[in-house]
Amino acid sequence: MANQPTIVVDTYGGNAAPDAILAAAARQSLVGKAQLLLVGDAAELQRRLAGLSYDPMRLRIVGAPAPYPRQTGDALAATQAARAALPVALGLLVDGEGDALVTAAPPGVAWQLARETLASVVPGVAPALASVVPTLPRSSGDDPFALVLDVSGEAAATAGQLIAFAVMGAAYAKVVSGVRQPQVSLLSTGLGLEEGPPAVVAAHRALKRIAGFQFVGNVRAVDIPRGYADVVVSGGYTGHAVRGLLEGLADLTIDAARYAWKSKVTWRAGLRLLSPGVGMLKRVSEFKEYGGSPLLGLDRLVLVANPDSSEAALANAIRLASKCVRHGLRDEIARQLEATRELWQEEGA
Amino acid sequence: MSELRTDTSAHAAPVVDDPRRPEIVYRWDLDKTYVQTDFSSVRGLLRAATEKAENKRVVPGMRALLTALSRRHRARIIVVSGSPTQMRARIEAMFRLHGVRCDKLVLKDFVGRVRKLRSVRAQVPYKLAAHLDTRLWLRERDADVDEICFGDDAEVDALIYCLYTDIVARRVDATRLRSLLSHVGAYDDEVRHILGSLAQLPRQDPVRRVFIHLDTRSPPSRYAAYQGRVTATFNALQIALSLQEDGLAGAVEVSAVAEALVSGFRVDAHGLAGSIEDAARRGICSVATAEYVAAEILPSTDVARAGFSASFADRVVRRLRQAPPPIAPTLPLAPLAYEDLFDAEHLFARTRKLARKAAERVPGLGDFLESEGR
Repeated sequence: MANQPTIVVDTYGGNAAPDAILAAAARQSLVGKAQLLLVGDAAELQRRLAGLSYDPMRLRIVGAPAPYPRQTGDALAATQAARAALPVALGLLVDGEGDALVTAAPPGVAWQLARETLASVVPGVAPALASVVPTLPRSSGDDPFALVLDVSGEAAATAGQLIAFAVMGAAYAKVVSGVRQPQVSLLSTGLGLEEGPPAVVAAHRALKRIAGFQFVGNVRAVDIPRGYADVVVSGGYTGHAVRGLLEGLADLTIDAARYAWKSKVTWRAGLRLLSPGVGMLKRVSEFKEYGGSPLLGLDRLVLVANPDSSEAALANAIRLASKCVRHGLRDEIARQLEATRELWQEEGA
Repeated sequence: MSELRTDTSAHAAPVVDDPRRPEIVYRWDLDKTYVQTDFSSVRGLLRAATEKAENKRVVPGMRALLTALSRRHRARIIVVSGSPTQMRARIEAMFRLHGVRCDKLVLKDFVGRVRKLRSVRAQVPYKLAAHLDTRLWLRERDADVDEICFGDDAEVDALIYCLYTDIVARRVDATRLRSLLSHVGAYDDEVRHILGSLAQLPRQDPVRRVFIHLDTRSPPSRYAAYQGRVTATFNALQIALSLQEDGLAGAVEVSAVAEALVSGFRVDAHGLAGSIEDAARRGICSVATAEYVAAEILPSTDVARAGFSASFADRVVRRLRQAPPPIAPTLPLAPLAYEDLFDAEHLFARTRKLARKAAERVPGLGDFLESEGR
């Protein structure tokens, strides 16, 4: 049990807070290796924990000043709770008590408070919110997901920021997804070197100069699900829009299958025959089931889970955070950023 | 339970001021309370029956706890186990190896019960009879000594210990006991044996505390129906904290358990702190005791090397003070609804078994398509 990562878990986040995150943490305390620090209303958490199986040797409670929102799905109350509790959770990271944070708080609030509280992993580097997107099989490995960053919704990115995002994304793909030589691309309007906004063109030129870096050029949005690259780099606003569109399409596909299942017996029979494929489709396209979006480039890892996340997805997020810490993601990102400092500083990160 | 004891003066044996007289009796179950055993598979059963004394795996920290307790307060150790009598030599060898002095070891005679199939599996009549018999054995030697009972959540230990307490205290009378034993499937000769033993015992209230080790990780709320009579603990350190609270353990015992957990089971400072904080929040010990153990005892022992330094202890103390546990109301000690409890325990066991099977089943296409859309 010694020297295991300590994961701080925000129990206020998510539309089913605190029950879903509490159940996920309790389950992980029994099967996982990480130490979990639950931030929440201590008395309320203890009352609810009494009805769950858990291991106190891996699960501790840190009191936070906010009560839980009375009604689930109340966006304003969720934001207020997150603003009260996240500073406590992030404070544990700053004090060195925790190695990573898992939260299902409103992503905008988590993004803002994390940036305000935590230092950059390397001074001068802007953080990026990453997200995984299902793709067709890629040549680099079995992982069905590509990493897209930045998806934070930030207005624009400089060339230097895009370079730093590419370096951080490659480090993540290498350390967490186990891709030996991650193929990195820039999201643009066309495949040519000169296509796209000036920042993308400048970043393209710079990334080609990094020795040993598998930069595969530009990709268009349509190429992302085709699996042309392991890491797709974009500005925060574009990345956010792309991810939203893909999530919407996934929802539409599943809803169409559900409609077909309920509409006609013959369609249901057809779906039965297709069940392995439909099952796979569901597994890779349910964004709510993913572990969470890593916020890269900060001194400590923050994983932002979808507020609609199920208990299983939140358990995945805790596991993913633990894996990132155990595999030394932060140190690898810092090493790679230091190695390419000249490039991204030159282009204004 | 001692504070709510009934008046026993009319029936109590004369108190003998004998320096050899034990001050306390620790009544232990064996499997899953002291020894880690797996009865869920045939292989586990065979292993339990055949493994040598030196290979037996002990529940983390329990060896250190029992060894330390057996050296303190001239305690007696009684072990009542559902293991077969054929294992006596191995179990005795294990205790010798562990440096634990076991004063009385009661095992189940499976051969003698082979024609009574129900009796082979039934725990309640067998253990109730064994507890009463050992109480009689104690009375012959040590007059009326208080007891602390240790069991686990794998079977119905909590129910058996509470029933044992209530029948000795005569909160459950013979008529009700007969009906209860019939409900749990006891044979007539078992009922006669239990009532006969009980008749030889005076009215007493010797059980001061019942510890249930949550070996199968039952939720603590499973024991809410026992109205505060059962102390559900996740590990040996929480037991030590409770005994420290009751004045039955001190720095030596608590640090022995903590050191055993750190050195033998790779528990780190966070693990110890989590156990202490959980114990305080659930009322297993007071916040003051938890603070004392965290701040005064552990940092000066070998566990400091595992990270439990003075500064770490300060953080634990701060956290303990953040959310003092609510004070539980003291309820009058009344007999429990044993039939309901017995049925609830069986329902819990059956539900848990089904849940395990369901968890192994991979959800199919229909499961998610039948579910509500977004």
